Amino acid sequence: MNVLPASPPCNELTPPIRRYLRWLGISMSMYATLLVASMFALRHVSADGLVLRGALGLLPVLPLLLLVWAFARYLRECDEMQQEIELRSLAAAAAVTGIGFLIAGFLGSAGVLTLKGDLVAILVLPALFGTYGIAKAVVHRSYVG
Amino acid sequence: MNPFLDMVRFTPNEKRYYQRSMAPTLVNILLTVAVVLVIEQFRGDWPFAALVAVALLPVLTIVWFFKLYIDYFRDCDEWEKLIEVYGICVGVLLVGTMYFAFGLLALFELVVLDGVWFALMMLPAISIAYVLGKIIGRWRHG
Repeated sequence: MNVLPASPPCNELTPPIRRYLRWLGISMSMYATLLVASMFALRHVSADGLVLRGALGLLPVLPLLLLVWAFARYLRECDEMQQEIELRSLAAAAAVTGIGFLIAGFLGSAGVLTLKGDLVAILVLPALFGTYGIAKAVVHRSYVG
Repeated sequence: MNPFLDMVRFTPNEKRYYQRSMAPTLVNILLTVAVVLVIEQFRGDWPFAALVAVALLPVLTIVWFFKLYIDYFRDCDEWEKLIEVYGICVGVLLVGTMYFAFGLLALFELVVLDGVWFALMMLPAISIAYVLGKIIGRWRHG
C-alpha cells in the first residue's frame, strides 16, 4: 500500500515551487549580470592587484549561493514525496557526475585524455544540474506515472 | 548523553552499511594502486583500448559502492531519509559551488589547477561534504 501523500502533477506550480522559481530567475539574472561585469572589470584591473582580481573573479559565485539557499528552502517546504523525488534525483546526479569525472580523471592520469583544470572545475556544477534535471524527470515519472 | 556523540552515532542500518562498504573501499584502494603501477609499466607497450580498460577498472568498485548505498537507502526509515536529504544536498551543492568558484579563478588566470587531480577529487569531496551535511541534519533534526 502506498503510504506517501498524493503529489501534485508535475506541471502544477505549488507555492514552494513558485517561490523557488522566482529566486531561480532572480539569481540567474544576477549571475549573468555579475559574470559580464566581472569579466569587464577584470580587463581594467592591473595584474598586481591579486586580491581585487580574486574578489572580482568570485563575484558570480554570490548569486549561486543565493540559489543554493533558495533550493534548500524549497526542499524544507516540499511535501514528503517531493522530498524523496528530490533526494533520489540529487543522489543520482551526484553518482552519475561523480563517476563521470572519476572516469575522466582516470583516463587523464593514464594519458588518454588531456584535462584543463579550469574547464573541469567550471563544468562540475552545470553537469550536476543537467544530470539532476534528467534524473528528476525519470524519478518523477516512476512515482507519478 | 553527549549531544555531539548523538550527532555522529551510527544507527544499526548505518552500521550495517558501513561494514558492508569496507570491502569495495579496500578493493578500490588496492585496484587503484595496481592500475597506477600497471599503466606506468606498460604505457608504451599495450594498445590504447587496453590502457583505457585498465584505467577504468577502479570505477567498478564505485558502482559496487553505490549499489550498497541504494540498498541502505531502501532500509532507511523516514528520519534517516531526511538526514540523507541533508547529506546529499550539502554534498552536491557545496562541492558544486566550490568547484565553480575555483573554476572562475582559474578561468581568469588567478590560480592554476591540475585538471586530472580536480576530476579525481570530485567524488571524495562530495563524500566528505555529504558526511558534514548528515551531521548538520542530525543537529537540526536529532
